[in-house]
Amino acid sequence: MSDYPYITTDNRENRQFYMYSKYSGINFLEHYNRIRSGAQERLTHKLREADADATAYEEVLKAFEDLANESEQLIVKELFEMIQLKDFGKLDKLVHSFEIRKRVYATYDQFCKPATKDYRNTQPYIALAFALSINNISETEHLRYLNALLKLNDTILSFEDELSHVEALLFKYTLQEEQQAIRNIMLQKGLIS
Amino acid sequence: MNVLNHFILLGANSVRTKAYLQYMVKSGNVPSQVFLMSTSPQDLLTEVQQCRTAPPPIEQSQIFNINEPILYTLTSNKIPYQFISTDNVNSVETISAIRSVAGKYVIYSGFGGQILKPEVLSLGKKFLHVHPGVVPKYRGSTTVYYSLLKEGTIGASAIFLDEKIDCGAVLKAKTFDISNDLLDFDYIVDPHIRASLLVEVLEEYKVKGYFEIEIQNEQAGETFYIIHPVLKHIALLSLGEL
Repeated sequence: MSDYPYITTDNRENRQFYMYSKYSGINFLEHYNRIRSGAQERLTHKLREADADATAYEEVLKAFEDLANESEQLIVKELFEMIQLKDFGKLDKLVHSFEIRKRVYATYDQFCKPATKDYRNTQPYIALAFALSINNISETEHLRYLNALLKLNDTILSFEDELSHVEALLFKYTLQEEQQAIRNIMLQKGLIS
Repeated sequence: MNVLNHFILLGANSVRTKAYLQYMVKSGNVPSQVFLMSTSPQDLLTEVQQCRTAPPPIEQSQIFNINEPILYTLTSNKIPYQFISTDNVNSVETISAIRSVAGKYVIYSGFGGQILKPEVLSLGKKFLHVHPGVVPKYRGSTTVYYSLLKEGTIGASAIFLDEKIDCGAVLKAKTFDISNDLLDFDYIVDPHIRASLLVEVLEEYKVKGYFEIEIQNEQAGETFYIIHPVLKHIALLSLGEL
């Protein structure tokens, strides 16, 4: 059994429901950090090879715009629009759908129920993770977003090799935001100094 | 032992049902009938046969006996019970069993993740559920951990179930002190706070003869989903000395 057993060969098929998860003390958080930092190193290397790295929010947002423009996945376009208009009203419904199904679909109906059976495409996962990551996830009133982001990032890590360069760039940003949010909460709780 | 004639208990073979029954026995108020939902009642019978004379001893750091079989609690306190051969609270068998008894209130301790369907909710009974979070602030799943993270507290609410998750009328909601002696939140603390609140509201009912209820604001609060293990660890470690 892995020290961090929530990333399988493909979480889209081996969905993780996280119920009654085992408590393993502070070591578990160290394992989590190692997993996330290792992923960031791999993504940095992949992006450097393609000369495609970016760190500033504006640059990453531009990359998301390019992805949305080219994407055939309706949800990617909708999520970009959401970010542009700063109108996140639909985000809670998408989080609800993801939390129930542990999958992100290409298109949703007006009630945010999947309107297609396609949950294999990588872009909707990346787009939802990015939209969550920019929503003040360190603040306790947005714990539900951070909670969903942790699960989404586990899922994306399970198919990390399938990511394009632009997806890798966006994912690296969401991982950084997630890790920073966790660090902030641990700091608030006096678990690190 | 005071038998609460208007109350039956509908439960799965779970730690929560064990806590409910043991706390009710301890408080002196027991349901008139218990329905145990299980697809393998033989396992329950075998379990109780293995401790005919006394239940296995309570383990250190437990506040109720997680090792005491449900049937041991029931038989040793002469509480009538029946099996329902099902693992689904909405099954035909469950509906038929509930319909067959006169009690107005059903203390519900069913399977995690199952939501009562309208066919069950419209049987003319009130389903008393204890949710491990103070509503409306903390609706949904694993809310004990979310309230620990947000406010450093834990709580529970006794509610009547309706079609919407954790939105029913509130009988009582309260927060609980956290004891550093209690290590296991999923299997000890959660059932403990639920069972403690349950016996409180039943005692109040016994004294008054009715429940005082408060209607929730459905728009208030938020609904939480199963907590990610990273957040769960932070919540537990924030208590210190674990």
